[in-house]
Amino acid sequence: MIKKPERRSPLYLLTGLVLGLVLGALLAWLVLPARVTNVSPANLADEYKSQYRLMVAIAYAATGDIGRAEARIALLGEAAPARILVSEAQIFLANSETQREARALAGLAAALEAHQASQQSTAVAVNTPNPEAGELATPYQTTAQNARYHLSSQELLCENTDSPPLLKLFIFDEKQNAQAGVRIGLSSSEGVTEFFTGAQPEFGPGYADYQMTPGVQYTLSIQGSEMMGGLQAAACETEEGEPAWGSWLLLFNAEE
Amino acid sequence: MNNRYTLFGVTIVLGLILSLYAVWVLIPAGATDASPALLRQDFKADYTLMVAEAFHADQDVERAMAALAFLDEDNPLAPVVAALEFGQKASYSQQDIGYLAVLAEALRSYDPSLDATPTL
Repeated sequence: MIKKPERRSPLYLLTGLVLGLVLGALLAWLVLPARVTNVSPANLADEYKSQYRLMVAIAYAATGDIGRAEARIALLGEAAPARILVSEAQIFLANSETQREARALAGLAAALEAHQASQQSTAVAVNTPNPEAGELATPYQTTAQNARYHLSSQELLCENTDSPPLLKLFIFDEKQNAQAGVRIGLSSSEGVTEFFTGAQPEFGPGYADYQMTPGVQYTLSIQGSEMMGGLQAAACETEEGEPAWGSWLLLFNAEE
Repeated sequence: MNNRYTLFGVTIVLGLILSLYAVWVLIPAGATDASPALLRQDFKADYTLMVAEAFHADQDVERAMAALAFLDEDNPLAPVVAALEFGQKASYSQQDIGYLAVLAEALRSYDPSLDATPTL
């Protein structure tokens, strides 16, 4: 009598594989965890990325080398670096002791946007047969004429005794992009003054400021819509206890 | 029967190798949450160069030392010396080498004990 060979399920092979995977995972995570070395800035924890970004901005403020700064920021592997720089500049702006950092971050954000826009406009000029057909590229994204805004932050900064009483404005769209070309109006007993954001790109495309006259009350409008009244120069005390003129820092965001 | 045990053993080893490769190579732990001390030498050198560029503009040694603390070295002179050595090997421009050398000199002048501190 011939005995037939026994057919058994190959499931034991799968069991072996799963057993090996589990053993390997335990070994790699618990017994011999990988020692990570030679990482790139993209691998840094978020808090360190912020510090790295700030150092890039400060170095750019020192050298003005936008190509180098752009390459360094690219190492962080972020999709919208200028937007992140602007957000971080806002955080530093809130503290009167970190105005240098805020200016450096905002300045780099503006320079990056301008640099990228100029590269895009060059590409368009090269690829467009009739340049008269298109409008000239503007360095920053300008605002929609009918955008409405709300005040998202208001703070009195007391910087130093030499500072004049300034009204500092930052305008952002609903996605936190700094907006250039936003029309700001200030009316007072002295008359009506109009100016636009983005005239001082070193502070970022959404920035504008105005030196107030002490004792005069101003009404602020954005794109023709009255936003707030009763604005006036305010006295304050520096950390050293000396009297000074404060600067009003106002942040406005477009409504969605 | 022996053949079955052998195949079973082979699949365990295969699973082990796949698992170790995935955890150690493909998704190394902490790869997205690393500290600056783990940066590759060229990135450390470039960061140090940024500090040197900023120092060239503001001449503020304390601020430069605070910025160098990012690299988590006990001695702030150590990353500058390392960046100088790396920069010479990697053909940094004379200007960049100059910035680093000036920063190293400023740190030595500010705190002469830095030179005596072991850097490795």
